[in-house]
Amino acid sequence: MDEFFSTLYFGFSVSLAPANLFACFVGVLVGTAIGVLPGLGPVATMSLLLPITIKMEPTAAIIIMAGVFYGAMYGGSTTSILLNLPGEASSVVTTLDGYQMARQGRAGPALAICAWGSFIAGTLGVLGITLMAPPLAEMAVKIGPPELVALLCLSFLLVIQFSGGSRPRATASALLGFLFSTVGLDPVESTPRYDFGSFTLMDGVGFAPLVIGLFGISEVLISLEKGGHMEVFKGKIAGLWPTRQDWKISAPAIMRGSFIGFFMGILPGMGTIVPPFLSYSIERRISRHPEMFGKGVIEGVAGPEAANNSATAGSMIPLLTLGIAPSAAVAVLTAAFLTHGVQPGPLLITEHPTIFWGVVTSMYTGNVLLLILNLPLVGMWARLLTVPYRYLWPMILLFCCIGTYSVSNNPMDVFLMAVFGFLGYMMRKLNYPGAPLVLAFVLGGLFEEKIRQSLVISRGNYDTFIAHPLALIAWIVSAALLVYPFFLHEKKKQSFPLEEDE
Amino acid sequence: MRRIAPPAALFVFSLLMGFFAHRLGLGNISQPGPGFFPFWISAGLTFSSLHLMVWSMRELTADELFAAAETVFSLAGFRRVVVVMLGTALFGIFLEALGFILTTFVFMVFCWLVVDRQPYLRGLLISAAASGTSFILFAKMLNVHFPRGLLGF
Repeated sequence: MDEFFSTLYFGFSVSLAPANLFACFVGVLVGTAIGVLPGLGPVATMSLLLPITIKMEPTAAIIIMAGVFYGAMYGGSTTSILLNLPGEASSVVTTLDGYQMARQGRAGPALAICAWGSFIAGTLGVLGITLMAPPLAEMAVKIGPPELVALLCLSFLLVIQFSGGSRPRATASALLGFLFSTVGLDPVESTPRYDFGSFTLMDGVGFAPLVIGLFGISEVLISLEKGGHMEVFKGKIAGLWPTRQDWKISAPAIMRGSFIGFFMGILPGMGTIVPPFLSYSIERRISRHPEMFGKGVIEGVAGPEAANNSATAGSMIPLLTLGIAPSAAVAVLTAAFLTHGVQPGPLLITEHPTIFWGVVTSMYTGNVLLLILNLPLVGMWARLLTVPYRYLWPMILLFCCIGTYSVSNNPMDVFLMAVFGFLGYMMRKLNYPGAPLVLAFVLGGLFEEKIRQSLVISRGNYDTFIAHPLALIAWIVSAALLVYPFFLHEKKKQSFPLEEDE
Repeated sequence: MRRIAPPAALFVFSLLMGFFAHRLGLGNISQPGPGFFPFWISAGLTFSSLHLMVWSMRELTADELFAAAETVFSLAGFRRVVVVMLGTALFGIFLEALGFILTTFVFMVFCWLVVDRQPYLRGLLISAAASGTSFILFAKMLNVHFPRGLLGF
């Protein structure tokens, strides 16, 4: 216990240093703003910040990026409640009851319970990281290349399974991500692959053009196609303190949401999108008045908001202990670590304790800052929504171009970003999920390297992949994940003979 | 037909990638070559795209297929998307030759006047302000090195 407090003390001494505290403030401020404004999600924003943070000290750079990630979860709820327009995909559920509360003149309590629920859940989630990450990292040190191959395979399958949309499309998306990761020099023999004589491609497909294109540019293109119109909130926000009755109803929902979000966030593929849906359905199932859900009940806002914020903390665990990114946003964080020459994974705590504990404790500080930013300043965030989209989109496009260019000072990367932007737009229109592509792209190099290492070490013996019990368990779970949909499909066909499989 | 087009494009792409990977050399199982991983991934994508093609054909009847394809893209919206995408790609192509300020100004004029049809004076003023402020913010304050271009700025 003493060690726990001494590491926390050490972490706070890092995160409360003026430069890191300022980085945390900037991160959560930017995160809240982009969460409020539809049109640029946390993934694209974090990618845009990546080149700007290159010259910063690594701890401050990671703190700022993490701040954007969890700050966006807070900000996303504002548009959901005031406009019925989720700022983030994870805030979709909040629209169901949050917007109804706003229509009934209870926008204030809805926003307040969102902020408090997010604060409590975020803090509990960070406490979970503090307690669980060190023992998990100790276990992870013993993992060799074949076990890592099995775990990565399981992660990809989970991402495909839970990315939303159809599994065949998610599979194709992930395979496309793997292929993009193979462009450039081969990691073992340095043979150029798929460069077609281009120096830009010999360096490999850049992370910034791919992610900014797939998420940032495609979002702008989708909005432009729809005409780029946005309804503006004109109501008054009053009563920013929930009543005692509100608290009585919301507190258990917040606790349940925090628990669900944290543990689901750890699982690859869940991200921050699935936990709020699960929390909402559980709240509805255990409620004494399920018929009121969707008509403006506060627990329908409190539970899902808590779930999406604690999921943010939970999703940091695989990154900090195994070096595996369970969602697209965490994949960008992985890129941030690698850009600063820091390998996320089991050795992070021992090799870079300043970064690890600094980042973890900055999340406590960030949650306090977010509460301050989101409660008294909620009126200001609502006013931000009055900026017409026609003034925003050219600036978003310009920032995407500058962000991409500044990573490698290569104008061809901007061209590549435009190509990936169009690919992202097409994928969204045709319901191909983008998250599996990004995860496969980020982890593809590691996956290939470990497969080849395992085969070389074992002299081509496939048994090496199932020799370790951990690898065997991962393969069994993977096989179950592959087979499970077929059983489900058969069962569905028996119940609804006329229904299609999607 | 249009629903089959994306997996068909993926199928052709995977065959091409598989072909180039094979030419890189697959090596052997105890010493995998540079083409080993991309080849098997391409093979996976070939299988996956074939599966998607069959699945797309089975999913809807011909009439439903046509109706669904009609609603996916609106012609006016799609034209706008292509124009903006091309403008962004041209930003990358001309950045080196024209320099940051001029390229940004032209790009902003294109966005506000050509795509969004803002009034001329307002569009020109906002474009000039946007290129100036972004230059000060990124080049001067954040030290990003932009190309100067033929005109020297």
